[in-house]
Amino acid sequence: MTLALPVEGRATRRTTATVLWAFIRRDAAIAVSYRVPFVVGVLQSLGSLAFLYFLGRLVGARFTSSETAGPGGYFGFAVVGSALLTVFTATLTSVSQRLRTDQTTGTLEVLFTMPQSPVLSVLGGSAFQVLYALASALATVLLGLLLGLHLHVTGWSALGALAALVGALVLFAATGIAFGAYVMLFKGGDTLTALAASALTVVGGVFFPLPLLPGWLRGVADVVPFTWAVSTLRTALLHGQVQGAHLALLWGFGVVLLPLCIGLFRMALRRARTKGTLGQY
Amino acid sequence: MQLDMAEASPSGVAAKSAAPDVTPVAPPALQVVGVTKRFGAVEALAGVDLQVERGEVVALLGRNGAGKSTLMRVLASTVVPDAGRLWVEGIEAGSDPARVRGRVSLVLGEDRSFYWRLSGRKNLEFFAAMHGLDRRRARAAATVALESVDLSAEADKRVDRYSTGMRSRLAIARGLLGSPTVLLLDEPTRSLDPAAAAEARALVAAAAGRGLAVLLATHDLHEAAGLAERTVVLDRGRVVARFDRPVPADALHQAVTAVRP
Repeated sequence: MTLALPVEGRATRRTTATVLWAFIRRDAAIAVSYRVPFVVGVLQSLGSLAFLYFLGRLVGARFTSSETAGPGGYFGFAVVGSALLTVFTATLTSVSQRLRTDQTTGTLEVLFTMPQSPVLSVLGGSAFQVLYALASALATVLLGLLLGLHLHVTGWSALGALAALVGALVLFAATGIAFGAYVMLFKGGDTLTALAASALTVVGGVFFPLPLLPGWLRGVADVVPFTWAVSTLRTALLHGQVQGAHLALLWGFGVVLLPLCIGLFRMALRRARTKGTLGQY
Repeated sequence: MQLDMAEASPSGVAAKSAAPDVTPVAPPALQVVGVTKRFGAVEALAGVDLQVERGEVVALLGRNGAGKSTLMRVLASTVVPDAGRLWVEGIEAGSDPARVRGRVSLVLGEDRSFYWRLSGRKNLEFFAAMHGLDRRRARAAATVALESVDLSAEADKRVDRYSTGMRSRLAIARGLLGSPTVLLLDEPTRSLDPAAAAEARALVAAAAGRGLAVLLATHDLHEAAGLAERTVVLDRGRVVARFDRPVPADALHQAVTAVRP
């Protein structure tokens, strides 16, 4: 039997973009291979939007929270909140979900024998899910516009919204990497991320205004970065205003937490390699 | 029973530096000195020394729990040893882990290491990209690798529709991506029928024929006898026998079974 070596020489460029793009193509192909769940997911998003639309009509003018005094009423408040929830929960949970999937399918160990950085692998493994969530959120807002959502965006607030979005993505990606470290060490982190996502839905003021929360929970909400992100983006998109303090906090926490969480993940990976549990699930 | 118990000689890097007048020789493709690993109370590896040259197959034998898979994983960087040193083409693993990982391929003898919803071709393209190949080169590399293991006709089928033998060949194809120096094969013929196992063995021999250093962990003594130029036998994490020439399966059987009651 003859055997050809597949590549003449080694790769000369190990670019981050090449690796990230390969992960995105891989996960897009896997997502499309599940045709029925893919279609059901789209239908579910449409159903949620319809639910919010009719809930908005029910609540109507009684929805007088100062935070939502934009032209869209409850519908605008909830649609923007829902879109942001989609993006931020994906960013928070995608690293750990992908790691867990790779643990159970047996691809994780092989992946970490490859020459690229393990951190790049985990970020790459979450990239498609985050991009898909961003596209889904954008589609939700666009469909919302057709159903009566009114955005009030100025040049500055658009810039502020973009800065808040990027800052929040950095911050939640960092937190997601920390969740990934948990999965690397203890396996089975799905419940932890699911708990975090549902808790954030409540304290983040996604579907109802924060003044409805009891005092102690409002206190918790006020110091949760998720709340700042939702509030900053919602204010920028619905009211045309920039919440500079929250924006600075988002970026500040993101810049500090990202290297810390990457360090934590590296420690967890090292621990898994030391204990010999990388291939276990 | 007469076993060829060769000295564990840390040649290569250390030896060369002590002999400056000798004409420089290429360092071994793979050299391991004093690798030790404990998992709690279990001593999985106890000072293992090993060397594999380009173009040769070295068989790694031993009973279940002897330390073969742990050693393979140490060499593939998925398990950190407690002590010991490892060089690949003279590059110490600790000094440049990414470069070393790029030159060592681990082929696992199990089905669970592919994306089953993707075709064999898509899988290989993805793993080629993990070696830093851009899309065009990754596609070309996948095509050549699939041809090498005679999977071209099945390249666009999803991996979940492959037979076990086909997945085994696909794993070997993946191991060839990125032009590795060292191919680590952890029981590549486990679960294969005789015909598929013969095909896999032919691929292993062909890989060595192309200049790769092959370390083959196996329980199949006939496979080891047929493929390996040299053999190392492990027991309880220690090298208990070395054969520095091809030997028949019955001699290997004696070596493996003699070490424990």
